[in-house]
Amino acid sequence: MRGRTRTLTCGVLAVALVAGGCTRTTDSGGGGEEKKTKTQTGSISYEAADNRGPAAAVDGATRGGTVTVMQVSDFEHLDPARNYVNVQQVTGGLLYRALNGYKENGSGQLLLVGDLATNPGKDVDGDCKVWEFTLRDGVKYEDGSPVTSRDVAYGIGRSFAPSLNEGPHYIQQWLYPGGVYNAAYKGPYDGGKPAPDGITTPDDRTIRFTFPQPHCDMPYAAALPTSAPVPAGKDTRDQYDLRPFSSGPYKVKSYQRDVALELERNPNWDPKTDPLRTAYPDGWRFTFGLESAQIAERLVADAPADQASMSWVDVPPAVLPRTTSGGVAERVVKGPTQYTWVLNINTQRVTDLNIRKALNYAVDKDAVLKAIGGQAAGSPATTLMSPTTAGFHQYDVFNAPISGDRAKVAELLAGKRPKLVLAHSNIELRTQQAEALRKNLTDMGFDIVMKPIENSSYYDEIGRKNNPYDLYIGGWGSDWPTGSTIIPPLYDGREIVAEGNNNLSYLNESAVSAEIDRIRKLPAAEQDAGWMALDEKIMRESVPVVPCYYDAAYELHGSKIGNTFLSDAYGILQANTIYVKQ
Amino acid sequence: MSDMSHPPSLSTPRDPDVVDAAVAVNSPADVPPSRQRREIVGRSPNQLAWLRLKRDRTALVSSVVLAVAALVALAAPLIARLTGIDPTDKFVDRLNDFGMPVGYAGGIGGDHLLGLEPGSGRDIFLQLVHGLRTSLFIAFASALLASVIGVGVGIVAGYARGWLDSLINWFVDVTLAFPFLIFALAVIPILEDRFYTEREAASPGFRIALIIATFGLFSWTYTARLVRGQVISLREREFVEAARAAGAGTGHILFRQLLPNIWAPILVTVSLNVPQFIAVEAALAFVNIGVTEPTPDLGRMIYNSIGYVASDPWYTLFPGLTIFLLVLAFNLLGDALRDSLDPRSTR
Repeated sequence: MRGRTRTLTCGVLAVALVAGGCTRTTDSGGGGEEKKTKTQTGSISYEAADNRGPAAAVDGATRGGTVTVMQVSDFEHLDPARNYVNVQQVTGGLLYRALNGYKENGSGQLLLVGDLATNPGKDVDGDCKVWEFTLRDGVKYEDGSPVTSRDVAYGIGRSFAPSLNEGPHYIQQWLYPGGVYNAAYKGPYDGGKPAPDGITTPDDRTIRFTFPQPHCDMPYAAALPTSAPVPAGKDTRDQYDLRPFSSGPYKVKSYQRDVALELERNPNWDPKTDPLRTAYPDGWRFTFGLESAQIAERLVADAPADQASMSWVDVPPAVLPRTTSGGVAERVVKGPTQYTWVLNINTQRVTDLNIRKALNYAVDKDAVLKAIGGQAAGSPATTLMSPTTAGFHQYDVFNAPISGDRAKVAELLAGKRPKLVLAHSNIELRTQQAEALRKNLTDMGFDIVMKPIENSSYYDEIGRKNNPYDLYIGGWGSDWPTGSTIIPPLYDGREIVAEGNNNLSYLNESAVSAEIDRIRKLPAAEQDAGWMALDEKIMRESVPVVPCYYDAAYELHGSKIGNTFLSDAYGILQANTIYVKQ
Repeated sequence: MSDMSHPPSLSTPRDPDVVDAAVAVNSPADVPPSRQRREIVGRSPNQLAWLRLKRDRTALVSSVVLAVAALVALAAPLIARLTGIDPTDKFVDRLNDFGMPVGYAGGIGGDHLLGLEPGSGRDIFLQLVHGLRTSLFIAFASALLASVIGVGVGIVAGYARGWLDSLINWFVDVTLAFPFLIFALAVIPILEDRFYTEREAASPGFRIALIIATFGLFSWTYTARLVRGQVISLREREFVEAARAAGAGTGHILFRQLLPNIWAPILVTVSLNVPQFIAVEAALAFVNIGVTEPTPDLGRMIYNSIGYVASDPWYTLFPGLTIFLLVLAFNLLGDALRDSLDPRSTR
C-alpha cells in the first residue's frame, strides 16, 4: 500500500508541475478590484405585498432534482430549540417555519417579513412591550394537521428545558429578565406549564408576548428558530434533533448521524402560504465527514455526479488559486458576512491603555489575512461591528498603515518591551495566523509567547474569566443585523461570568454599560446610530481589541445549481429559492 | 561484486583489492601459481570492508549527498547571514490577494532561491536549510540513543541466560507491543504542561528533546534483539572460552571480547534507523506533536505544503524532494555498508 500511495503522489506532483508550474502568479488573486461592501439596512417590512405568499418565481427556475450539500461535520442540532449555528438555521428553515423570516432575492435587499405570521409582529401598545403575531391560515404539518399558536408557545416553552439549552435565549431572557433565563421556569417537562409566563394564545391563530421591559428587536428575535411550532404530541425531547416534525416544504426522509441527512417533499406544505420559499428541488441530501480540501476539489472539478452539489464550507487557501479561471470563477459565491474577527486583548491582564493602543498600531492585518487566504477570507477591519450591520459607517481611530506603524508603537511603548501570551487554536490555519502575528509583534517590540490550544476547546479556554492568556483571536457574528446582538454580548462587563464568556476582552467599564442601557431605551429608529457611536467610543476610549478583519464567505457550487447568492442574513449560500438546472 | 561473495576469513591470505588475484584463488586449477608474484598484504576485516565500500559507486554517491546535506545543515546560520534573511522573516508584500507568491514557479527569483511559502511568505530556501538542521539532529540523536540502549540491553540479555534474559526479553516484547504514536500523543503534551506553566511557551529544545527521548525509548528494541542474537552465537566460541579460562571478568568479556565482533550489524542498524526517524519525525507533524512553530522543521513543512500540491506545486516539491533524497541516500548507504561489512549477505 505504501509504495502505491507514494507512486501516486509523485505522479500527481509531476502532472501538477506541468500544468501549473510555469504560469506567472499575478498580484491580484482574482477579482481583487471587486471591493464593494454591502451596507445592510435590515428593514422590517409590513407591506402586504412582501408578506404575501407565494414567493416570487425565479426567472428560468425549474422544479425537480436533488441538491447535495457537502459538509465537513454533521449539524450539532436541528431541534428548533437548540438550533443556533447559521448552517443549521438555513437547513432548519427547510424543515420548519418560525414566526418571521428573511426575504432575499440576491440583489442585496434583505427584508424581515412574517413567515408563519401574517406580518412581522404588531407592537400592540406602541411601547415595544406587548407583541402580537397572527398565524397564516392553511399552514399544515407533514401529517396534514393545522399549525396552531399553542404549538408555537409550546415550542418556546420547551426551549427553557435545561436539556435543550443550546439555542438562542433572547425571548426567554426577555420574558424572565434578571438572572438566568430558566431559573424560574424550566419548560413543559416534568409537570411544568406548557407555555412560559407572558405568552398567551387567545385563539388558535394568535400568540401574544408580554415583556416587562421594552424590546423593539422582537421581530428579529422571532426570526430565530426558537419560535418554530412543535406539537406537544410529537415532542420527543432530546431525540427531536434527529427528526423535527415538519411544518416547512421538506421533511426528514432519513438521517444517519455523521453520515448523511436526506430530505423529501412535505406534501402538505402549501406554497401559497409561504412568502419566503419556492422549494424547487424535490429533495436535499447533506453528506458529512468530508475534508474541506476534498469538497473544494470536487466542486472545482465539477464532475457530472457533483454538478448538483454545493457546500457551505469556505474554500481552503490552498485551493483558492484554482477557483479563478473562467468556468470555476462563475461558480464562486463570495461576499462579506456578519462576522468580525478581532484580536482580543485580555483587559484584566493588559491594563495599560498605551500597550493596547500600541497593539492597534502594531498588528499587520495584511499578514494576518494572507495567512488564511487573503481577500477570500476577509478584508481588513477597523471597527467592532461588521459592515453588514444596520447603520454601519466606517471609521478608523488609529489610521495606521495596513502593515503597522512602527514609529507610533515605539512612542507608545516608551522603551518597554511587554511580554504577552498569544493563545491560538492548534489547527494549521490558525497556527499559521498566530505565527504571522508573533513575528509581526516581535518585530514591533513586543515579547510574544505562543500557546497552542486544542481546537475543540479553544473558545471554552479563552471563555474562562481567569484564563492566563493576554491575546487571542476570536470572531463574532450578529444574530440579526443590528448592533444590539454585537455590542452588549461582547462589551457589557455585567455579563461576565466564570465560564463560557462571549466578552473575551473582559472589558468591564461602567461607562460602556451605562451607554448600552441608554441605547436600549431609545426608539428603534435611533438605536442603529447609537450602537455605531458606541462602537467608536469603545475603540477610542477603552481599546479592548484590535479589529483584524471582516470575515468573508467564499463558497463553491456545481454547475447545475441555479439562483445562487449569498444570504445576507446568514452569510452562507441561501437555500430557500435555489433550484437544480434540468 | 562477484569478488565479494566469499568471506575473507575462510580463505587463505590474499589481496581482495586485485580482481585478478581473487579470481586466481577461486580457480586455482586454471591459473599457474607462478603468476602470483605480487606481495601478499595482510588486512584486517575492517580494512577489507573499507576497501569494498570505497569501490561501491552507490555508496559514494549517497555519501556525497549526505555530506552536502550535513554541511548545509551545519552552515545554516552562515547561509542566513549571507542572504540576510531570517527563516521566520515574512515577505507578505510579495504575496498576492489570495496569499500566493507573486511571480513564476512559486516566487522563485534572485532574492528567494526556492520561492516563498504561500500564506506566510517565508523564504522556502531558508526554511528548508534550517528545517534540515532540525530533522537531521533529531534523527541522528535518536538513532544514537536507541543504539546505546539497544546494545547495552542486548549484550546483557545475550550473555546472561536464565531469568535475566527472560525478563529482558519479556520487557522487549512489551515495548514492541506498545503503540508508539499513541504513547507519543499522550506523553508529549502532558510532559510539556508538567514542566511549563500556562504562560510559558515550551522552549523548542524541550520539544525536540522529548521527541528524541520518545524515539529512543521505542526504537532500541530492534538493536537489542539483534545484538542478543549475535552475542548468543558468539558466547560459546573458543576465544570467549579462552578469555574466561584466562580469568577475565564479565565486563571484559562483554565489552572487550564480544562487542568488537558485533559492531558491524550495529552500524548497519544505525544507518537504517536514521532515515526511518527522519520519516517518522515528519509524520509527527501530521498529528500536531512534531516540532512547533516557529522552529523550522522539514516534516512540518511537508505537512503544510501538501494542500498546495495542485495550486503551488513548487512549495511541495522542494521539501518533498529534500526528504526523499535524504531517506534514499541513507538507505542506500546503509545497504552498501551492510554489503561491505558482511559480504555473505549479498545476493
